[in-house]
Formats: sequence, C-alpha cells, structure tokens
Amino acid sequence: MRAMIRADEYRDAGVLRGLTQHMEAAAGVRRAVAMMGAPRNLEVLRKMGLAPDYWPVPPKPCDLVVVAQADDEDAVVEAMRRADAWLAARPPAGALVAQGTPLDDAPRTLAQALARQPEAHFALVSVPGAFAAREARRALEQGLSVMVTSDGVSEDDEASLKALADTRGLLVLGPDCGAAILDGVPLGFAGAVRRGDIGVVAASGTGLVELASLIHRLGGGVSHAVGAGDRDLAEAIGGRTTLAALDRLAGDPATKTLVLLARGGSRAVLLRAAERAAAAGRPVVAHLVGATDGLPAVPGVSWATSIADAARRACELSGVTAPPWETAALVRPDYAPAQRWLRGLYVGGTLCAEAVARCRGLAPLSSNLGLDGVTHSARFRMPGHHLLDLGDEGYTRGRTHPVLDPSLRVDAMYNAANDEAVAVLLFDVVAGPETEPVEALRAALTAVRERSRARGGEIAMVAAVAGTDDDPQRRCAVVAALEALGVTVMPDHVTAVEAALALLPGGEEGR
Amino acid sequence: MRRDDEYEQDVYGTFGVRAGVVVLGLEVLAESPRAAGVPVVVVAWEPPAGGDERLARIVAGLL
Amino acid sequence: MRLAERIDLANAEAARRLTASRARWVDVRPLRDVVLDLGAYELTHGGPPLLWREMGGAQRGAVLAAVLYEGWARTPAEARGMLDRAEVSLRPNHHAGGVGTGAGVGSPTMPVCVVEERGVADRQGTLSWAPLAPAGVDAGAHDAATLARRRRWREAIAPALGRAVAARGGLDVDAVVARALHMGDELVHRTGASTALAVAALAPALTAAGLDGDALRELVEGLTEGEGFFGALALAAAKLACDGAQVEDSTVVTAMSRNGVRCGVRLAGTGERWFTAPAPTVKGRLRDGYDDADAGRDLGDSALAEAAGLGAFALAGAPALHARLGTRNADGLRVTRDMAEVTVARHPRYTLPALDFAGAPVGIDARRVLDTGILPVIGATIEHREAGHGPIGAGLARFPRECFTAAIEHFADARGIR
Repeated sequence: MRAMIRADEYRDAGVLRGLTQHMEAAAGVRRAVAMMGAPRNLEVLRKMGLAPDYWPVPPKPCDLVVVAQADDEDAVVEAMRRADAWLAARPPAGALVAQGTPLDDAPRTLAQALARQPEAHFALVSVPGAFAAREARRALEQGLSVMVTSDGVSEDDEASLKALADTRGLLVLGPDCGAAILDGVPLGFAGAVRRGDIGVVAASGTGLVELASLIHRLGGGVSHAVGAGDRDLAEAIGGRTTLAALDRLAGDPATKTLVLLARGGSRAVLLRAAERAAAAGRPVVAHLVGATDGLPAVPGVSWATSIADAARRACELSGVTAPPWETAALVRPDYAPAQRWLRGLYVGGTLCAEAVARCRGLAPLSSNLGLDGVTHSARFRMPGHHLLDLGDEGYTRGRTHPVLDPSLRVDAMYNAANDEAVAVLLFDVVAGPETEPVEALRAALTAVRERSRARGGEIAMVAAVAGTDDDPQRRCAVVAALEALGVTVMPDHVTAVEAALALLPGGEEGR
Repeated sequence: MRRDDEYEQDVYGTFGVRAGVVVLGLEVLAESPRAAGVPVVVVAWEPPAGGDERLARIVAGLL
Repeated sequence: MRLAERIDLANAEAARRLTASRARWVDVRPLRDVVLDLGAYELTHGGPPLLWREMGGAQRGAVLAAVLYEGWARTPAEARGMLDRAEVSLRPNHHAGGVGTGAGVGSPTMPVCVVEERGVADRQGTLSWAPLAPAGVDAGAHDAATLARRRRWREAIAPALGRAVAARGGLDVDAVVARALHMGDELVHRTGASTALAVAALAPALTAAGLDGDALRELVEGLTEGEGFFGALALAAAKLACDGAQVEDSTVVTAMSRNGVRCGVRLAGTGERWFTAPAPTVKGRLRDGYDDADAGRDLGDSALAEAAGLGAFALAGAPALHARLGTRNADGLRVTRDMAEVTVARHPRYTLPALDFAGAPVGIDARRVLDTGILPVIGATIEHREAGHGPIGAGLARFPRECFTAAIEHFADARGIR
C-alpha cells in the first residue's frame, strides 16, 4: 500500500472518482482512493484501513491524498505513476503554466461566471456541504435561484437561505436535492421525462425521480418537478420552497394538475402546503411518504397511499388512465433454515422511508433513517430486518453520493451475500444519465445469488427501477439485465416492497 | 399590469433555467442542461481558505 | 458598524493612499547617507528577516561579496569568518525603508537611488531607496574585476548620476511608470521602455554632469545595458506607496517579499509584522544549460511591485514578456483578470491599453485571497541554488496561501475572533 500527498491541489469529487477508476484499471491494483485531506476525510480513510500508521507531514484540507492498495510493490508504483500522469494531463484551476497544454480558462468565481454569462438565472451548487450555504447565498444575492445538491447544510443555514430567497422572489431547491426537472430541463440525476401538464413538488431526489418516471410510464407528462429538500416542511423552515414552488406552478398555465410529495416534517406545515396547492385552482394529489391514511381532508386535495398511487392519481386527473401493471407471480425460493431477514439497501432516502413505513409490521426492525419506533443503526448488518439509506449524510462524508458512485452499495451487497441470515434483498435502482447501475452491481448481485446457494438456500432479490425508456440507459434494458441476474423487478417501488414482504420466509403469516 | 418577473418568466420559463445556468461544484452536473440546449458556465470552484472550514468561517465573518 | 464594513472602509482608504502616492527620484547617495541608523558593519538584504546561517545560494553569495566590497575583509574566508562570528549585522531592506531586487543586498557605501513622496499629503518628503548597480554585474561575484567595476561605479559614476538628477530637479518616477505601461513594460522584468524614457529625460543633465567622455559612456552603458535600470526606481516607488498605506483595520497587503528560505506578507492594518511561509521554487523558463534541479528558492523584494499593481498584475500589458516567462498572451490576460477578483481598486493612473485602458488591479485584500482561493501571482526571477551563476530564468509563481492564512488568523485573533 502506498499513499501520496499532493500539496495544495484541490480536485472536485467527480475528478477524484475518475482518477480512482483510472488507477483501479491497472493490473494488480485492488483499491484506490483519492480524497482531499480534510480531517473528516482522513477519518474515513482510517476507517477503511487505508491510512498509513503515521503521516510524515500531516495532510492539510487543501492537499490531495491518493492511496493505492495492490498485490505487490510494482503494481502500487504503477498505480501512483498512473495517478501522476492522469492529474498532470488535467491542470487544476490555479495552474499557471501547463507546459504546452492549453490552460483551462474557466471562471473561478461566481462574479466571473456572471460576467461571461450575464443572462444566467439559475445556479447548481454541489460543493462540499461545509461551503454550500455560502455559495448558495452568493448566488441568491446575485439574483439567481439555486439548486443545492450538497448535503451537510445545517438547518439554520437552510432557514436563512430560504428566508433570503423569499425576500428576493427566488427559490432554493434542496439542500440534498439530487434531481429536479425545471422548464423541461433535467437537472442532477433526473432523466428524460415526457413534458406534460403535471407539476410536482417533492421532498427530494429519488422520490422525485420515481414519481416523475412513473408518470411518464403511465402515459402522462411533467411540466416541472421541484425538489424542495427533505427538511423543507420542518417547522423551522416552514415549507418556504414548497410554498414558493407551488405559487410558481400556479402561475404556469401549462401546469394543470399538482402533486405534492412530502417526507417527514411538521404536519401543520404539510397541511398549509396542501391548502396552498389547492388554492391554485388545480386538482391536487398529495402524499406523505409512509402515511397510508389518517391525514385530514383538505378540499381539492386527494391523498395518495404511496408514491406509485400518487403517480396514478395525478395521471387520471390529467386525463390519462393506464391499466394496472402486469406482474408475474412471485416464486419463493427454498430458504435455508438460517435465513430469516429482509435487508434493504437504498440509494434514495425517500424510497427507503417508503419501504420502512410498509415494513412496520416486521420485528425486529432497524434502519439508519431516524424514525420513531424503529431501532436506529447505520451498520451494514443487523440481527433483524434492516433497511439502509446509503445516501444518508453519515455515509457520504468524503465520497460521492451512491446514486453516482455504486461502490458503497456494492460493499453492502457483498456483506449481505456473506450473511447467512438474510432471506430477501431489496434495493432501488435509478436509471439516470450519469448512473451505471447494472454493470457496477453485476458482480455483487452474482455473489449474492451464488454464495447463498452455496449455503444450501437462496437470497431472493427484489428491486424497483426508476427511470424511463427515453433515458440513455433505457429502463427496459436495465430491467432485463437485472432479471438476467435473477433479480425480481417490480413495476414500481411500493409493489417491490410488498413483493419483498410476501417473499419472506413464512410470507404474510410469518411476520 | 404585469410585473417584471412575470415577463421574465415568459422568456426564460417558469424557473428561469433556460436563460442559463452556473454550475459550482461537480462539473458533471453541466451535462444534462447542456444537452437540453441551456447555456451553462462551469466555475472552477475551490474551497475557501484552502478547505479549512474554521478559517473559512472566520474569513466569511470578515467579509 | 459591523467589522466587515469597517474593514471595507479601511481597505478603500488603504487603496486610495496606495494609488495617491507619487514618487520622484531625487538623488543617488551611499546607503548610509539615507539610512541614518545603519551600523558601521551592517548589511541589508531582501525578504523578511533571516539569519546569516540560514542564507543560501545567491543571497549568501551577495552578502559575502558585499563584505568584500566594503573592504571589511580581504578574502572570502575572512568574510565568512566575520559573518559566522556575527561581526556583521543583517537587516531586511524593508526594515530600513528600502527594497532591493534579487538577493537585494545593500551595504553602507553602496549607491542607492533615493525617491521621495510627492503625492500623499501627510507623507510629503518621505524617502525610500533601492540599490543601483551597474548593469550586468552579478551581485554575488567577488572576483577582482567585478569588485573593481563596482567600486568605480561607486566612486566615479554613481555620484555623477546623483548630481545630474539633483541638477535636473529630480525625475517624476510615477509619470514614467504610467507612460511605460502604455509601451509594453510591466516595470519588473520588462523595463526597457521605462529605462529608455528615464535615460532620455536625464540625457541633458547627464551631459552637463562634468564627466569626461569615458566616464559618461560608462555611465550611460551602466544605465542602459540590459534595460533593467528603471526596475530599481519602480520598486522604490512601490515601497513608498505601500509604506504609506498603513490603515487600521485594513486587510490590504502592503508587502510581499522572499529571502530564499521564507516568503512573507504584511497587511496595512497589522503594522510591521511579517506572516511567513516556506519560499517555493519557481517553475518557469530557464536558460540553456539549466534545469529545474538547479533552481534556488524564491528570492527578493520585487513582489512589492505586484502589491502596488505592477509586475504580473500588469502582465496583460506586457505580452512580449511571455517569451521569457514561458507563458502566453492568454495567460497574461487571465492573470490580470483574476487579480481583479482579489484587489480592492483599479489604479487611476496606471492603465493597460490591452484591457481598453482599465486600471491595473491594486490593493490585494487578504480576505478575498482566502475566500476565492485565487492566490496573488508574481513574476519571479529564478536564481541558481548556488551563488555565482546569476539569474538562470524567470517564471510566474503564486504567493503561498499560508502567508495569507497566517495574516488573517492574526488579524481575526486580535479582534477576538477564533
């Protein structure tokens, strides 16, 4: 193993991912990691067992740390050489002389960017969380609405940003909003969706993508899909983005039906949002993830029982009725006696929350989502039914979000493959523009099937795929590839959860 | 009498995205809007104060 | 008023004072006539404070040569002995009211140009200085011929130059700088136009200075050979401007300097304190026969020019310099454009035709340096690791972030912010 520190060389997460992929392509290299030398990243490195026992010169946050683990000395030297060459071919922003390579002329500040493109009205902020609020504030001060994909923004900062946005008539999407579709333009990992008259305001990323792609697959279309952020409906935030987005949609003649997809937050704020949506004079479908009933009636608002149900209702209100999905009958495998538990491995928090809500009848039940009545655990493995949101802040320190970088989920899947107590593996797949879902998971899913069979049983694998056939990775191709690996793919997420529950040993009666 | 921002919404869309987008952070986020025909400028972003969060807060407080 | 606003106002005032400064070259004198508290066995050097035992390469060579030049020792070994026994004291140029390029070593009898403040009201009459050596002399050389030439310059030539300048009533350095910027100079590495303008302005006075033909020729050659003469004057003018910009609560940079071991920065609001970091090795274009391994660490006071809006900050106006630095026109435009992001003002008189006569960016704000991550760019001469080679190349470099970090930490800490 070898570590290299490159002093004062900042590279963003996307570049670092490309670097590690390049290094890992070398023969004999088992693992390569590249991170900036901030304390929390070094901690991640240490937990991964890839930090040297002692740093001769401790890395600083502005230093780039590159670590390679390989079979032998030659391979590790080669990995570092590849890293040097790869980085040298891509001079960082501050490089002055690049020895013959044309220097990148990119603007280095927002002010310079706006001097280049004064018409810009929107900013996409994906910088590390500690700095995201400041960049978002600057963008707002310059009159741009902002989508913040970064997580790790404090609630106070979020409240302050959204208050500022309100005074300016601007919007803040997020934070931790990985996907949106605005003015027909997909942003983040949102894929291509038919343009239509259904306007969506959702808490965040995967829920928004699931909802929008279901609308498309049912034959409907989306005018806009706004990601308001998971905490927007909290009392402290007051639903500012949700309300502002609903007002904008109300002012858009092309939007004729509204969908409000909420997650957590304050009941009072949710109702205020539902009422505001209804006041827009369009039919409204609303859903609180995990809530199947018990919500007060709001005139003009129809409460859905799941994300999939919300999509169907919205399409019907839009004049599009699609037949129910066809699904093949489920086949429960011959489990080994030790197999008992459901393991959920999610990249999307909203979908994980929907799953946990459906699984409340199971015991013992744990998750890393902090939900009442559910044991909290962020470990990969638990003695019981366990559902993990791998996109949670606790996991994303120092690494790219699992929607874009599957390596964390792959690790978690191998853990499940080796766990004799797992009976059913449930996971979400987003077939979006930057994602490479099946190829990255292929080896891990094969391991899940083969290792469980070698133990005399089998792990049933169930998945839902969010996306459309219009995406570059066509949903139908992703589904086919997963099915070829033995995964049962259900047409939408809530059906996948129901299928997973039905497949547990003892089925409906076994809970 | 319509407000200025209402006229703007006609030209630039309901959310102003089509007028142009500035990307701060992951360069990969420029791809989708560019493919949709939106002018995008990517800022070669680096963290303030060399990534030292405490110092960055101090600097922000002085500005 | 919030602290941030106080700082903004202080910075505006510091920049105003920086740009209001107008230097006039008034004389050429031995250093000890200008620095009245200079010790009998005291030398000055470029960069922040440094001990003899820490000095390396070009600076070590220049100090040794100065000891011999002053006649304090007869052989290099004797000179080294004196220095090792601390019989010679050392002071940064900056602490003696002056500046020097390269190793920047000054000694008591060494001729220096003297410039006087004529712009900022409450600093009228304040002086600064920079050593004036004949062109083509390596400061670290201590062979007999070089020392003889330097002594001749000191005894016969420099005093005549001083008389000529005084007889003329001095020379408006500020005006020459402004004009030379329109002629492709950046006043640090490209000084051909400013040198030509100055010599042309002085020509009548030079011919009336009472020198015989040989001496006059030697003087003119010493001023014009290598075209670098005006650099000393521009730097001394920058020293006047920056020293006059002390304003409480200001985060404007009033000095950037290197001594081959450390580089340091001063702020307008933190007085004389240096904020230092290890001096980097500059990468750039080297003369034939030299490679990166030969380069010494960065050296000299010339970065003060950038603090005053010249040098690399005016690079957009000096495209011919790129051949020497190993850069291209687009780089120069970008550097000037980027420096505008971290400076407080644009100079009212130093304008750049290539940017439609926009003023040179001036008044580096240390807060903005840290906030944007854009480190100030300087043009640097690359000296050899060892004495005796003279400069081996030139390039662009960034002043280390650590200096600005230390400066802002101190500034904030002094105001109770941690």
